[in-house]
Amino acid sequence: MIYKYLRNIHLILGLMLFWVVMMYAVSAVQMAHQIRIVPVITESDVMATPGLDARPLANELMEKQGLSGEMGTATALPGGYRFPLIRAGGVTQITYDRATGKSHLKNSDNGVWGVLNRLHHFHGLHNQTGARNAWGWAVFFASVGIFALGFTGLYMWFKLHKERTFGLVLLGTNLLISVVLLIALRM
Amino acid sequence: MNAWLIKLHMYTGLLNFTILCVFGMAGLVVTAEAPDIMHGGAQPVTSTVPFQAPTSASDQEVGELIQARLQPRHAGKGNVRRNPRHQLEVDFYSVNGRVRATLLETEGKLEIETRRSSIWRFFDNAHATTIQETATDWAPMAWSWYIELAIWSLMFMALTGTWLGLTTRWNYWWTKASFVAGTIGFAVFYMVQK
Repeated sequence: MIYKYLRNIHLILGLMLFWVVMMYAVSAVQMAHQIRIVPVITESDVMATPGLDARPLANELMEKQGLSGEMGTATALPGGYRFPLIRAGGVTQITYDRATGKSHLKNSDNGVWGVLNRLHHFHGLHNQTGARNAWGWAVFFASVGIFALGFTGLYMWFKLHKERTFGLVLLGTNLLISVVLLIALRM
Repeated sequence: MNAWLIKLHMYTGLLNFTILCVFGMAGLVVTAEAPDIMHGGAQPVTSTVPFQAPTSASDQEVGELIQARLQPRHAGKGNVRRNPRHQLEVDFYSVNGRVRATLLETEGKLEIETRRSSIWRFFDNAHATTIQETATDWAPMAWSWYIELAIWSLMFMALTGTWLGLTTRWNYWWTKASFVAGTIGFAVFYMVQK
């Protein structure tokens, strides 16, 4: 009964998390092997309401120009300021002139690799946007899911009596190597 | 073929069990936003050692000499720069946090500030120690290759597990439902975050 229940949990979690796990693995390969992400850069000028602060400007540009993303830190410039709107797939750097309302938009698009890379790094439940917080919950769910997959898998292996000896050798090797390495790293 | 895939899936899982726990732990640490070395509340440990910088050496060369002198554990190449007081500062980052060496040139000393990360941040840093790691001692190098193995193993397990689930238990309602839900969910996240 327990075996059947845990087997189903393992199956359901594994299938639900397939794409998330693949995203983490593929983007980890990209980072570990330094596969270069070449951004496609486009630039344009738009007119916004003059005299705005950064947040109202961001909201206006999102509404009227279809921009999206989480607002980064604004940096003061002579006559205005600059701030980025950060998305998984790229960033739009906005340079604003307070007096005229002229806004220069420099958009860099990092493509699929870029999105996967950013998704790998996005986390937390206290972001500026609901979408990012929702992703933060997905990361939480995936993290708990990884533990659950590991422990349910361990249980299912243990129930296969024919596999116990060889499995113990593999698990023992894993534990020995990783614990020794983790202790050595922490010292 | 599926019988062999089940075995390979299981063996790969057993060989990577601990590291999967490290990956899971890293996800929980960043979700909980565990404080980093600058916000953990622990006071840095400060000490000084005598050090004379060669008068004709560049900042980079002095940085290398400082690294050779201090040999901070598990740290890669130091980041060399001048601080606002124009003193030479070298930061050595490792899985355990940061060692900052500030050259007090006129006093012939190095001020060493060590900020050690919490055990939770240690797991987060450990999961990100890849083969790009520049530390040259055996532990981070061995660990980084173990991480490399784990990354490919994770991919292999995801692919074989999904194949096995879809081919052997297709008639189970939850098989279809969970795969469709996972696919749609990820596609929505991808589009929204993009």
